[in-house]
Amino acid sequence: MPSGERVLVIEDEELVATALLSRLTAMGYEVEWADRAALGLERLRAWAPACVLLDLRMPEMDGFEVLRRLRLENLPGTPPVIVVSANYQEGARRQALDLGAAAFVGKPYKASDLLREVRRVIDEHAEVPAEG
Amino acid sequence: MESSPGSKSVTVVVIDDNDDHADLMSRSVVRAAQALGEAWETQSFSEPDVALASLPVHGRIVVILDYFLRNSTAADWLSDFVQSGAGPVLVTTSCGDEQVAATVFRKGASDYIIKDKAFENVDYLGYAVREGLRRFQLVQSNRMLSERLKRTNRDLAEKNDQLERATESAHAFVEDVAHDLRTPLAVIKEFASIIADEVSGPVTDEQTKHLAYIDTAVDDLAAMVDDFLDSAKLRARMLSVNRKKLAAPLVVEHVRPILQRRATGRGVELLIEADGDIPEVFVDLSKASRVLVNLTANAVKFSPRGGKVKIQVGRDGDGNCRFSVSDEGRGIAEAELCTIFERFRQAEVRQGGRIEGFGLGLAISVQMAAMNFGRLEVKSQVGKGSTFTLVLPPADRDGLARAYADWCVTHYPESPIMCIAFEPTHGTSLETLREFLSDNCFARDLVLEWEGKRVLAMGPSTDAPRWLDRLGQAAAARLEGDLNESVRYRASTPTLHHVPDSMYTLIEWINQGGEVANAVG
Repeated sequence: MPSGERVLVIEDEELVATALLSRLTAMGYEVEWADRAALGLERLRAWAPACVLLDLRMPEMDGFEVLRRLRLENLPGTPPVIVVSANYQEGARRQALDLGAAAFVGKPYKASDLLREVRRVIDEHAEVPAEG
Repeated sequence: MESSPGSKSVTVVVIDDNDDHADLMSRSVVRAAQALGEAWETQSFSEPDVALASLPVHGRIVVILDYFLRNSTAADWLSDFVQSGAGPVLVTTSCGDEQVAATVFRKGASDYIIKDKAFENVDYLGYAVREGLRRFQLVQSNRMLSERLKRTNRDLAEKNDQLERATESAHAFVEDVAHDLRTPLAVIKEFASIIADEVSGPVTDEQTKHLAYIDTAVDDLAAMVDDFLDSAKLRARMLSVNRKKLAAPLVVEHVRPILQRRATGRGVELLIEADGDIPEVFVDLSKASRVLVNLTANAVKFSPRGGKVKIQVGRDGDGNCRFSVSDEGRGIAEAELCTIFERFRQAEVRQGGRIEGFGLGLAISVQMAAMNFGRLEVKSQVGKGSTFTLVLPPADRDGLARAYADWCVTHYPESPIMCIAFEPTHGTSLETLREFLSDNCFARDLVLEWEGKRVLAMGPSTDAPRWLDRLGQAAAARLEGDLNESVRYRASTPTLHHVPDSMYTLIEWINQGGEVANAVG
C-alpha cells in the first residue's frame, strides 16, 4: 500500500480529475491537481511528485508540449509521466512515448490498469538512478 | 452561292504608298470576292499610321500591307497591326524575296504575297485572303480555348485545395467527436468503479451487480465510438494499413484482455484454442484483431448468460489461417444467412454500410478483413448457434497471390479476362516490381488460370506490352483486345483502386524480405 507517494494530475476536465483524485487518494497516494499545463509544469518542479498523470488535449498548452518541454529541460529528478488520454488517433500513443512518456493509458480506462501502471512506473523509476 | 466563314462582314484594308498599286489591289480584291461569291469591302490608305487609327471597329478585317513604304517597311508596322488584334496581315511586295518573307513571318504576318501575281490571278489573291481569315480565326479560338483551359485548371486546383481542406477538417471533426464522447464515458466508468470498490462507502451486493451493468454498458458505448470512428475513416478512405508478417495466435493474444472482459461482463465463458501447426499471416495487427473483437462482441451479445463463446485458431486445406468465433446463441435462419453473405459482399463494395441486426461492427469487420486480404465466413444452425470465421491467407507468395486472384474474381466475375495495371507508387521502386514480375510464376501459374477465369496482374501500364510478351504470344494475343479496356476500367471504376492496394500487400511483403527467390514456383 503506498504511503503518501505524490501523484500530480494535469487534466483540464474537472470530473476526470475528480475521479482520478478520489481513486488515487483512496489508494493512499497524496494527489494534487493542476487544471492547466502551465500550472502543472510549475507544480511538477515545486512539489516534486513521484509520478505525473497527464492529459493530452488541453487548452493553451497541450500534453505533447508538456512532454517536449520536460525533455528539453532534461532536469535530474524529473518524475515519470503517464499519459491518460481519449486521443486514440494512430500515432498519438507513439508520439507520446517517443517524447518520453513512461506509459499511455486510454480513456475510458479500467481503474486496475491505471493503478498498475502508476505502481509500475514509480517502482521502475526508483530503481534507476536519476539521469543527469 | 458560297457563303463566307462566319456571318460578319469582311473589310479588306489595303495599305500602299503607291496610289496606283493601292487602287489596283482594291479592285483585284473586289474581283476575287466576286469570283468566290463573297462580299468583301475595301478601304485603301497610303500611310500605315492613318490606317491603324482608322481600322473599322465592327466586322472582320484583313490587312494587305505593302512591304516597301515611304520612310519605313512593313516590318516596322507589323507588330502594331498584330497587336491591334484586328485581323490577319498579308504583306505584299513587287518581287519575291525569301529574306523579306522570313522577316515578315517572324514579325507575325499571316501570309506573304507577290503583287503582280495577285493582280493577275484573282484566285491566288482570293485564296490568300480567305486563308488569312481562316487561320486568324483558328489562332483566336485556340487562344480562347487555352485561356479557358487555364481558367478551368485554376478552378480545379482551387476546388482540390478546398476538398483537401474539407477532408482534413472532417477528419479532425470525427476525431474531436470521438474524443469528446470518450471523456464523459471515462468519468461514468470510473465513478461506477469507485462506488463498486467501496471507496465512497459500503455497497450492497445488489448495487454491485447494478454497477457492473453500468460498466458493461459503458464498454459497449465506448466500442460503438470506436466503430463510429473507424466507419467514418473507412468511408473517407483515411485508414492506413501497416502489415507485417507475424504468428497467427498473436492476433488473438493482442486483444485477449478485451475479449475476456467483454465475455465476463455479460456472464459468458470465453474459450480460446489454437492448433499446433498454424501458418504465419501477413496483417495489420490492430485491424485483424479488431475483427476478432467485433466478432466476439456479437457472439457474446447473442449468447445467453452462462453460455460459451469459443475462439478457435487453425488452418484449412488451402493453407489459410482460420479464426472461428462460435456462440451458443439462437442461430441464424438460412434465408437470413444468405442475406448476410450478400451483405458481406455489398458492404465491402459500398464502404461502411450497416449490416442489419449486426450493427456497424460486422460491416467494419468485413472491410478490415479485406484490408488484410482475408474474408469472413458464417455458418449457423437455428437453436444451436453461429460461427463467424475470419479467413486470412498464409504469409507466403502463393497464399497472397491466391487471395488476390480470389479478390479479383469475386469483384469482377463478369470479366472473363482481366488485366490490371498498377503504378509503382507507395515507395515501391520500379526495379522491385520488375524483379517481382519477371519472376512470372505469379502471373502464369496462379493468376492466369484461376477458377476458370483469367486474371493477370502486371506492371505499370506503359510496360504492359512487354509483360504480355513475356507471358508468351498465345496469352498476349488473347489479352491484347482487353488491355485498353482494362486501363479505361481502371480510370472509371472508383473501387478499382482497391486492386493496387491488395497488390501492394504482395509488394510490401516482398519489400519486407519475402522469399521471392526461393518461393515454390
